[in-house]
Amino acid sequence: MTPAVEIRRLTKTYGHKRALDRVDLRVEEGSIFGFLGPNGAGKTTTLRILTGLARPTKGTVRVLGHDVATADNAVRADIGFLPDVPGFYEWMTAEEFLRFAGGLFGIGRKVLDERTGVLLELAGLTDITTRIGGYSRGMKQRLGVAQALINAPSLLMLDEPTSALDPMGRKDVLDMLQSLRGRTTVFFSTHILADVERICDTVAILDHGRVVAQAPIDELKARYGAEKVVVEVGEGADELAAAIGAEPWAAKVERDTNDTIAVTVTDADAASRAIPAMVAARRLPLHRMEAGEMGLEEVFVQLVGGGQQ
Amino acid sequence: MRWSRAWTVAVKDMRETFSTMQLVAPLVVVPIVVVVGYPTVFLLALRLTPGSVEGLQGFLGGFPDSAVPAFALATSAARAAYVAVVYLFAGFFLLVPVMVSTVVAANSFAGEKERRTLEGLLYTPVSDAELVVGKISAAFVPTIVFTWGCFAVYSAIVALLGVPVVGRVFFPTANWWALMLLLVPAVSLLVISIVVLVSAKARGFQEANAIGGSVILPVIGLVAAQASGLMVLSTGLVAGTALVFALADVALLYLIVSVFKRSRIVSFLP
Repeated sequence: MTPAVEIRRLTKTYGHKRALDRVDLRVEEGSIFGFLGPNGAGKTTTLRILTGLARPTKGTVRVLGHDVATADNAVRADIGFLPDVPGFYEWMTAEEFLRFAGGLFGIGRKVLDERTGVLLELAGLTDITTRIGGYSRGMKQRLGVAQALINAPSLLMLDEPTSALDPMGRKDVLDMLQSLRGRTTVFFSTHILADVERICDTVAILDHGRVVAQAPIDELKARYGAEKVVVEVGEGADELAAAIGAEPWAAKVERDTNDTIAVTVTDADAASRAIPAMVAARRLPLHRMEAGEMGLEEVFVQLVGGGQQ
Repeated sequence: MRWSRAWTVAVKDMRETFSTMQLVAPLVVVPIVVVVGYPTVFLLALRLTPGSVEGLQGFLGGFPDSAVPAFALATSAARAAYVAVVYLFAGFFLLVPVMVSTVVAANSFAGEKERRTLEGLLYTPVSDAELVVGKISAAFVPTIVFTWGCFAVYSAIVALLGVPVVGRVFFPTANWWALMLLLVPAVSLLVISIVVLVSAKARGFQEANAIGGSVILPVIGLVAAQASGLMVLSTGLVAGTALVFALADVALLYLIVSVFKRSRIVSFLP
């Protein structure tokens, strides 16, 4: 199957600054792909190249089978895009805005009538007749997603679609994206890990212009999950946690209220040998010891570095 | 090139222009003063106090009699009315489209940048050429319609106040038709093309308007030359000048469409 997006050895430099450094990415058709990275990692640059608005310095970028370097307009006709800070004509109504966007794609009146109605409903704006200037951020963002879908795109790209929204606004936008699963490939950049965990199938993590990980979310968490050990003892958890924290292989020790200790380790083998011995030496009842599952946030912090968050 | 896409951009821009008071006010007030107020006061003065023409002889006397038909040489007042209506005020009708088009065109790309709406346009399949043509049309159409509207009002004022002074219907003359149908569109298109290009590079409307506004200076020179009698806008001169501007329009449009690249505009976005 042809991937929706295929990037090979993509490098982009601005003067002496290297924004992207030999990036490889593959986004399968129909998937919801999360493009993660801290601010300044190169996410927006990548999106601009994918939409043909910036040229690669080196490497190849294929979107829906087109080489973006030679087929800008053909690519843009098949994709929908929502920029990180979308601008709206505040004097228009939502319907006028969608019709205007449809006109830019050259969509015929009959199709546009039908699609405008469907998208207004999807965005929850059907009965809103006020001008866009009076909308909340959440309403604007939902309208932005609807506008990006006006051409029934094969690929929908969104740059930080939820970053400025409150929890309800985020939920609404994520629900909209979720409803597209299997129909449209969704590629969205974000630094909000919970959003990615909630709706994405696959994720790539970008740091300093380089892809440091790319895999389905479960696989990514499983890959890094081995680096965490969860220990549950019947009593004496505080003393044990303090002792584990002093070990050189213990990167981070967390305690919860149930005598459970979660240890992020730098050497899983050393930890699995030492922890049972430490428990036995203190004559503590060991209820459980297992490799814990890391959340995406912990994977992200581990790969990108906590200092940047 | 799909004209429907360019026209979609143009219609949106025109609606936006006329919903913004900051843009509409100078478009309406100044032309009304220049093409309605001045001629009305001048012709009324000639009609009500014919003696007032003596004070203008120094100014109007510079025009050669050969540029005035015999029927308008009957009285000093008729000559003054004819010279003012046919030649003196003609220059204003070049200033009006230049002023209008400068304001509207300056807003084209720069206004969208200020309102952060440009990026959304650039991500659509509208080609660079369609975008430029749409932006230029959005300034050109209202400029021409407004100038022709002013011309219609001016013609009515002349019919009402000028004809009784001159003694017969004399307006619009051939040089005015050439002015309205050839020179005004040609000059407007050149000014708009230049200002749209400036607007694409500028960070905001004020910057684009300030830089783009300098294109009015050559037109002011033309108006001054005309008003002083140094140059008489005969039909031949108007048509010839329009042809030169039209050729410049073609060359400039070709250049703009060739050099305009959205990727360069993106680099100006925040």
